Amino acid sequence: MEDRNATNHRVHGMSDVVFECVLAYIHDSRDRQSVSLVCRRLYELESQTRKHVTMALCYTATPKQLRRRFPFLESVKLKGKPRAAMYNLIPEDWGGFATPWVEEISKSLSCLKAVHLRRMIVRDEDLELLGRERGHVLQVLKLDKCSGFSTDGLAHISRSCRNLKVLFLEESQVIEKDGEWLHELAMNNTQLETLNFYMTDLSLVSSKDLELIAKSCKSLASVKIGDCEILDLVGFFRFAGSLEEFCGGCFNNHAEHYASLAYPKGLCRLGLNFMSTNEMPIVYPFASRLKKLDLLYALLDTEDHCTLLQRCPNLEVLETRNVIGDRGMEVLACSCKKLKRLRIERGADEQEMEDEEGVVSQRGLTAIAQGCLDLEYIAVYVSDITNAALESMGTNLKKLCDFRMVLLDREEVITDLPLDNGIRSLLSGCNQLRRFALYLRPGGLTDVGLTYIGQHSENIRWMLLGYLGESDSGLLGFSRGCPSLQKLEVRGCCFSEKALAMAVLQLRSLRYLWVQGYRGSNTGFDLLAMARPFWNIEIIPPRKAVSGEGIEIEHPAHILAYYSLAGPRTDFPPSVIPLNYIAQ
Amino acid sequence: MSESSAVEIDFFRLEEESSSPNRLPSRRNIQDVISKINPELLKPAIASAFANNGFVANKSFTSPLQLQTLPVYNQDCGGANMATTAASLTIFYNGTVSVFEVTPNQAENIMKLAESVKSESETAVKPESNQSPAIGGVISKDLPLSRKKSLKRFLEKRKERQVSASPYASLH
Repeated sequence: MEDRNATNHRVHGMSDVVFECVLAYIHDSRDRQSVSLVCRRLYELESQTRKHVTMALCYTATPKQLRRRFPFLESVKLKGKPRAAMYNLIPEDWGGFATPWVEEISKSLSCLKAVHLRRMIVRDEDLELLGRERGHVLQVLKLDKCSGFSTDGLAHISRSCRNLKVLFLEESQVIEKDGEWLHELAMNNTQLETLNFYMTDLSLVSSKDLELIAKSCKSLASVKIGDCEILDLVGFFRFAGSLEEFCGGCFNNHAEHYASLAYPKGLCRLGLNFMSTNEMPIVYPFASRLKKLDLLYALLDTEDHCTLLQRCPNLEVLETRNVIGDRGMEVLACSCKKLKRLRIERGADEQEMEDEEGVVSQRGLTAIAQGCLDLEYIAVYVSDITNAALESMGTNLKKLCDFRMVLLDREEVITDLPLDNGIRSLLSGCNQLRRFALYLRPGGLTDVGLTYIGQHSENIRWMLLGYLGESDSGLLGFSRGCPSLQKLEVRGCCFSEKALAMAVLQLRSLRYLWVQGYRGSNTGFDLLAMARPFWNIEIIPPRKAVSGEGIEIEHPAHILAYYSLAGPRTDFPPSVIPLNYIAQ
Repeated sequence: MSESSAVEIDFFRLEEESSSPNRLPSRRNIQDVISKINPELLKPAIASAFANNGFVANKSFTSPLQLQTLPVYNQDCGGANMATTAASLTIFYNGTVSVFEVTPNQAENIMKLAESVKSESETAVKPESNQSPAIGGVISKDLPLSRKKSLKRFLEKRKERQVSASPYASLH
């Protein structure tokens, strides 16, 4: 059957060529993983034809291991710091250094065209090296919520990567020295399709350079910038004929000045920062074309939301703060039947800063559940909730893949707690759920409810549990289920080290765990019950930090544990301690 | 960041150049490595793992995900004279961290001492168990809801704009 002749490989009676052709059509990483497990030859073929890899944590393998297995990689995405870093919970120097990866990429991954680094520490020297060695082939560079570099590093990229189609810097902390990097981009690039420095505080950029980019780059489709005055962008909008997405800018002048502004015909994804009631009418002429609206950084109240959303029947994505209120949610449910993604963030805590109608509760959620049946993603901060609202979502939202709900802590009394039955209905009804986050308060979900989550989460791969359950038995009940759970985050729960360790051993798909807030054992050894080969355990001990307002904040300890082929980290900062070494 | 301390088990025997002709199958490889763990230190770790019971080792080495509950192996343990080689013992206590160089025997004695103290004063310790355990477990109310960085920045900027636009006027 199998011909073992090295020059004419046959696998199961078929030649390699057949499999190579077929593999070119298989893109999903899980399918490819299955293929690679069939036999050695298919493993080799799959490795050689793999185009993209995402490493959910950059410490799970070394750069050399990645290159050895996938030598012809064209695109790579690496994630560094735990997700909690987006909420200021992780020490800045925690890790996720890009340097070893950039070095490997520059040395040997010669087919690489796209690099996406998320929550990593990147230095100017890394960008310089990348530009110098891969500048001629690099098409996509995304420094997503990264830190550690300056505009000098960006200038290197702009100078060396003339074929760059995507430059994405959203939410990165960049040390700003000047606007040269954008000027270099304007002078050297004609291929740019996406330019994003949204939420970076880069302000020394010139609107003239933006205008030049719009003129030179005929395919420019998505531009998200910082706080640049909108009136300075008249030229930019005039020349950006292909523009579909624009976010950023700000309004520093009186509303009348903006009335005659002309926007590109294809603009359908929009986010105008600091836009208030008076400027809102500029959106009306093309509101019916809008597919995506970002109002997170706008200055609209509840009534404004109602007025605007009524005019957007084609809206598919809405991001805003809870100032939208239940009334705004009802308008959304009536007017925006095509809505697929809804994100409602938490507004200011001080009553005077936000509209008093600006709270979302079971009323708004029920309306959305009944009105927006195509919803695939919902993330919402609620001030009140009932089981019935969750049941309604379970009954109606059959396409839901991603559910995230946080119960705000301002109200003392919540209408209907615990949410055990509602959550069970939601999970059993929305059987396509892949991601799930629930953040309540003590009393919000009992141990029974937590066990329900375990029993009804067939396909869920990522979960965040915040203040759920009453005791260890809830966690143990939960961990008997969740067959697909790969990544678990736990915050503010009352579980003991022992229970956490046992849960880890029971969750059969688990490969990543993050915990903040737990009942520590007196010896600190209970956690070791989950120690095993390839499982790294790290502790970020309790620490005090000074917030932006000068207030001292106490950060409780974190546990981070994950599978790795690379052994324990070798680049720990003082603020992180590997538990492995305690066992020596 | 040296490669020498990185652990790599070559499951698929990809490194032909460094292997001998009669290379051991991968299953044996893992067991070899694990057998190099210092038995002195295995004991307390295994004892605590088995005390919890419920899921003890009857699983075979079919994949890394189903391995037994053994402690992490120490790569440096090969061949050296265990009894007298000092290694680091790190102790977390009451918010402080101390590191000592001790021999395996000393380490075992210290751990035994800690365990005996713990079992004696178990009932006395219980009401305090939420306070300051070794690594720092905390009760729920000490952990306030944290805000996303990007939104925090926006809300700060908005406050600044309102103050500079009308420092004496009320906001609504």
